[in-house]
Amino acid sequence: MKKMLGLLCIGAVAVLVPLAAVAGDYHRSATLVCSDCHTMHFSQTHGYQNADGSYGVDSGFPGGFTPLGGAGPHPYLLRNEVNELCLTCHNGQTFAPDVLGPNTNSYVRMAGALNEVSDGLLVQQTGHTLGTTDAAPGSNPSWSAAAGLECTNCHYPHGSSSYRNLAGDPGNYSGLGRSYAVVSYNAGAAPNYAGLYPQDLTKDVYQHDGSLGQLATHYAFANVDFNEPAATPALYAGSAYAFFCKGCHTDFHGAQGGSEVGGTGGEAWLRHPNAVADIGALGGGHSSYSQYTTAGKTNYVKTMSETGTWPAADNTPSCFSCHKSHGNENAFGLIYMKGTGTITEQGDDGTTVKEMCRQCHSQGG
Amino acid sequence: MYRLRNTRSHSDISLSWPRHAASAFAASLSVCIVLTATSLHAQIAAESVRPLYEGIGSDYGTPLSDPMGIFFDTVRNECYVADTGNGMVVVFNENGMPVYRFLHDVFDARGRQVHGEPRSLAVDAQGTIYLADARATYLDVLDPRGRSITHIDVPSDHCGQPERFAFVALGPDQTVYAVTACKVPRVALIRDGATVSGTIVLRDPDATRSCVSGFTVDGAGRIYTTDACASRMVQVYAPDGALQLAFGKHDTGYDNFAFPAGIVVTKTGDMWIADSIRQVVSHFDHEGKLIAMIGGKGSQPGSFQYPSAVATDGDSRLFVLERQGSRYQCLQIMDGVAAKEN
Repeated sequence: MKKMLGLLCIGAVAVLVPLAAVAGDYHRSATLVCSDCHTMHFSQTHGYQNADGSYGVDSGFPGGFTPLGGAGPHPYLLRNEVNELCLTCHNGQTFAPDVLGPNTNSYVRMAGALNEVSDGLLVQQTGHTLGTTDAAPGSNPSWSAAAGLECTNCHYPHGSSSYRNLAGDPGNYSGLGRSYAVVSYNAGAAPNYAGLYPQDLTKDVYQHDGSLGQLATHYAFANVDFNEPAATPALYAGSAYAFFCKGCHTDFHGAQGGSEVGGTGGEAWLRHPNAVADIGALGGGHSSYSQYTTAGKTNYVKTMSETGTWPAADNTPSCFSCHKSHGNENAFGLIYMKGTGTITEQGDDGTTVKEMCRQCHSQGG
Repeated sequence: MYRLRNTRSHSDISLSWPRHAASAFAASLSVCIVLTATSLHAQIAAESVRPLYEGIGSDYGTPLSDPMGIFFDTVRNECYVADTGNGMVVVFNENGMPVYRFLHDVFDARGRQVHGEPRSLAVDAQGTIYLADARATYLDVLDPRGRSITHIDVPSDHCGQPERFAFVALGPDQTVYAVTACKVPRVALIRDGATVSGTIVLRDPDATRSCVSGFTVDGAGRIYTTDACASRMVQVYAPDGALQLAFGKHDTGYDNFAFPAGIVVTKTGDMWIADSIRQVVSHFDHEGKLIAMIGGKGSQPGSFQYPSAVATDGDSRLFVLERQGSRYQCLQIMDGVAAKEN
């Protein structure tokens, strides 16, 4: 009997551990089925032999149709090339985040406005560009996607324990000897009576409403904030999110004192910090907390907080403070947030990079 | 009546039989497999449509780009295509030739005029165009030349937060139906061309969230939706919003779906539903029973590359829009038996 119970326990653990290990938004459990994206025999519809000897679904048209589904087959038994497959649901649909082109929903997304090579909608260099083979700016060693940048370079299609199913090994991440990247978030907790999810300061990302009921609720700018967990500096030298970005954009930014930022060799700031640099904490004409909290300001760039308070003296900028991760209409996906007016994907009433800088800096008048 | 279930003759079966089977067991097993497969195949292999023509763009230099919405105007025999990627609406005549186009600009959250992304449209008997644009929260009402007449906002009680009209359809008595993408979808009724005169709440008791991906209304005011998140992906609602019929799981199997992306109903009550991932259009009767599938991925007439929407004249013509194929095809709905005999 004990042996039986032991086996049952092992079995239960075997079942439960994978469930616990794979979290993630939407791309898991009953929301998608394998055959949505994969095909066992490169048959788009799994048709059988027709009367004329061809295979596939018999349309009845002269000449029939391409038996096993047009161009292909595609790697990993996929129905189509990765980006096209993803864009089937993630372009122009009301029920899934629209990642391509300008904002196509009435709420302001945290991401969105990806470019696509030759799509003509937005010029390149206003964010990430699907299909590009250019080297990632700041990558060290140089990294580019040989087959063109794909959604799966940054997101795990089967879900992950990271915020937005972010990949654990983007770009050079593994090659740089780093451990698996996890941008943790407070998913999975029970919501309160108002449907809001509890803040967990040990997690990197705080989603106020964690349910997937409506895009405007789940993916909106106002629904997401960023913590700065105490454990984070030791593991990620300041920001798990920034370390994810650094998988490709290695040398762009860093933490105070880090080799990417400066603070070595007697040099002052060489690059902008992404962690461990509270706004206004350093004197000498750097950032200004009073500037950050100017009276009358209603909009703030996203920053990390150790205490879960925004704006506050413990707020630290990171990649997402200045850049919209997929892109927008501004150069480099910069967020021209002036501090007043309606928040948009471009920022707010701000229209220049200077207005964005002056969120935290007072120099220049 | 074009409904049929077994167009494939059973003589076809014998062609697949193993004439030199090594053992009786193997032969009997093969018979079972072939019979099973043929039985399944016979259900879906109805030859029920015939390609007539296709429309490919507003001119040779401007092919359709990621088109997402299509409407057939039975008064003028014209096909309106929401050319989403090009930010325009293209009007085709009954031979698939473009006869008119106009860019659709919208106002964004800042109040700036920007290029729109037309998503779904309907045209009433007077030629007034009702256009849902992915970049606008309002329904744009346009004259036949594409000039904006008025904007209809989403009623404030629809979602309780910013949302937009997702799809629009023309119902009985020239009433325009526009559905919003709320957790519980709501349909705005527009009877005077300018204001919302009523709301229908679509109540699917099994739905935990709504991902409406296709929308149409029949002559009796019944509302049909496809829902990419529902446990049963096709819903038929009574005119008051009560669920009457739901079918089709998100699963493998011929009568199920991967991503239903558009639905239309003919006057017989039959439903034609595009599946954007499976590259087919499935034909169901009014009870939700599968009659046929047409398509398969490809660029030939009758094949599809990511069908994104469907339209019909309500009778004998079916229009299938292809997002990646950058075209729409006009297909004639045939009586299956007659088609074979011809």
